[in-house]
Amino acid sequence: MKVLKKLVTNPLSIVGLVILLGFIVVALLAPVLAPPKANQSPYRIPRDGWMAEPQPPSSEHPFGTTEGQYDIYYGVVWGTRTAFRIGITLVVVASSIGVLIGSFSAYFGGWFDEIVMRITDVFFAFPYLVAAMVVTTILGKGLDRMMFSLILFGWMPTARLIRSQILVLKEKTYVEAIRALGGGHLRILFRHILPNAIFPVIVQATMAVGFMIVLAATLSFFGLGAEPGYADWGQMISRARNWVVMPPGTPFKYWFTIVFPGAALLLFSLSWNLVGDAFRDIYDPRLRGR
Amino acid sequence: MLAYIARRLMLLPLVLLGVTALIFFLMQFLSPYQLLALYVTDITELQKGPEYMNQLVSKYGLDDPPLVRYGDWLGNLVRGNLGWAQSARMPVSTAIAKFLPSTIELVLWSVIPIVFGGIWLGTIAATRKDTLVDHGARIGALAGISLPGFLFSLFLLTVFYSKTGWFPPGRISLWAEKLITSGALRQYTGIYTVDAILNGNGAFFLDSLRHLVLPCFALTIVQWAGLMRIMRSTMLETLRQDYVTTARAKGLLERTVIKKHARRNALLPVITIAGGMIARMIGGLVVIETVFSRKGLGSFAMSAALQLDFPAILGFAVLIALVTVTANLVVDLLYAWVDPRVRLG
Repeated sequence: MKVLKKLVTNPLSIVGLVILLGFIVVALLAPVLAPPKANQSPYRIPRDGWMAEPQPPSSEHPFGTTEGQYDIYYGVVWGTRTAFRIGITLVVVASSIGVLIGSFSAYFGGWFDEIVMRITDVFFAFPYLVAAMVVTTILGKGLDRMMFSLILFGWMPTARLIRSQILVLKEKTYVEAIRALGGGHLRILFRHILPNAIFPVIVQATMAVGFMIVLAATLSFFGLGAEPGYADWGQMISRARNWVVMPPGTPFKYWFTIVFPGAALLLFSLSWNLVGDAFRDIYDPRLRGR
Repeated sequence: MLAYIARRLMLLPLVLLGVTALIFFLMQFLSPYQLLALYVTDITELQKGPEYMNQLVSKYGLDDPPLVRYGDWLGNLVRGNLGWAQSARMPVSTAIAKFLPSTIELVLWSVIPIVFGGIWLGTIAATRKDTLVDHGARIGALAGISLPGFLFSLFLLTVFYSKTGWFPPGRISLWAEKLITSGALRQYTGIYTVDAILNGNGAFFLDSLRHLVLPCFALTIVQWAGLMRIMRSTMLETLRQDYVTTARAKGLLERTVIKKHARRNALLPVITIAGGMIARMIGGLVVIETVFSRKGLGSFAMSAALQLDFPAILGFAVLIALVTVTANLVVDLLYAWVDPRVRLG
């Protein structure tokens, strides 16, 4: 289709797709690339001892070990799975909620729409990070609570987007025609309007994955997300913090503790943004200013 | 115009009410003891022991029906009583007042680079479309929005502090701190750079400026990325308009066409995203203040979250929501003032 062709001819989009594909392969092959220890959740990074000081890359530990002797290579590989799990779950759930709320609000209109939009405004009043911090403080730390807080405050942009799309589409003639033929509201909404309105949501969702992952990594970095020892890039970078900033004069000695997880995080986010950009260009080249 | 302002101002208290209602609703998931911390301002009351809890519960009306409690809590809010912040060992409102100047200082020194830099970069990228400058700027912006703030800050600290020692974390050096604690430097505002000028102390000014370089740079780069992209796309859109072609045909200097005609109109959509930018900047402030060890509102909120200090984090949330809603309102009014189509349509 036209979409696929445009996707593979744009150089930046190709770069994004290749990187993303690489991550997908790593995530799928995680048990092969970094075999987990028996009797332990594969997301717990194996520890080779109890020393605090990170060890540089060696044959045993290709990327070295971070504080507490957690194997960085294992963490990066299984962290890819974590990243996909978090990113895709968050975006799919938050977007679905947003689509439901936004489409009902737009379609039925009137005072219902007004109220829903005011509620959306209320949720929008909290910066994402602050909201996640508040909810995590109340509910407690942990990966699932963090994901819950991110979903709770992550549905609004999708709701607004789909609402603006549907407000336009519901006035179209074909909708009137279906209604004349006796089509019910739900049928009109889900079978006819939504498929035409959904593409911008897909664009937004793709870019949201990268953004959500960075936010989740930020929360994990500060200790509000994944527990210590969990295969999560943000978590691993937080262990690197003391060894990279504190030692005066030789901060690059422990470069591996921050470079490997940091590069993984950066490339993951970058690839999703590139692919999202490419989608957006396909949908509306005018948005890009071409 | 007045009708538009009136309409927006009438909606404002509703939104604020909704915000407080949402926070109050979230608060209900706390245990009664944790809730108590939200009402007492005298720490000794909390330390009396569990036997006194029932007394405290009835004293602060925690067994009243929810609506009554909500009203009481709102009353407290309005009077400035936000409870006791255990993480800071002082009442929440005192903590907020204490940490606010540091955050304001960071914002003050970042806003101008962010706004002018972002607009300038976006304009340059648009007017030199498809050249090396444009491609470089766009790739840079893409990298900027993909880069996590905390990672970039760590990188900056590693290179410019650990390796070279040029820009240390924190707000001021030890010797400067002694000046404050000893009283040699009078604090008028709490904003160190301003106080330094008011005291005529050049060394102090330079020292606090030195500590501001990295945080401001980190904050700026992250915000630039988003701003630049939007500016570039709106500028490109504007430059294709007929009136720009007319201006050029009239023989006006390209510089004039861009500055006096195109850029102003391109700025309009940019104003609409300014509200969202403020929210993102607050998130960025939390991260940057914590990573650079600056004692401000952001790091206060972060340590409150880590220590499960509910009054502090909830007080912070209420304050931030207030700021965001007001900022959005100001931005919307500004946009309506600038673009007549909005208020008339």
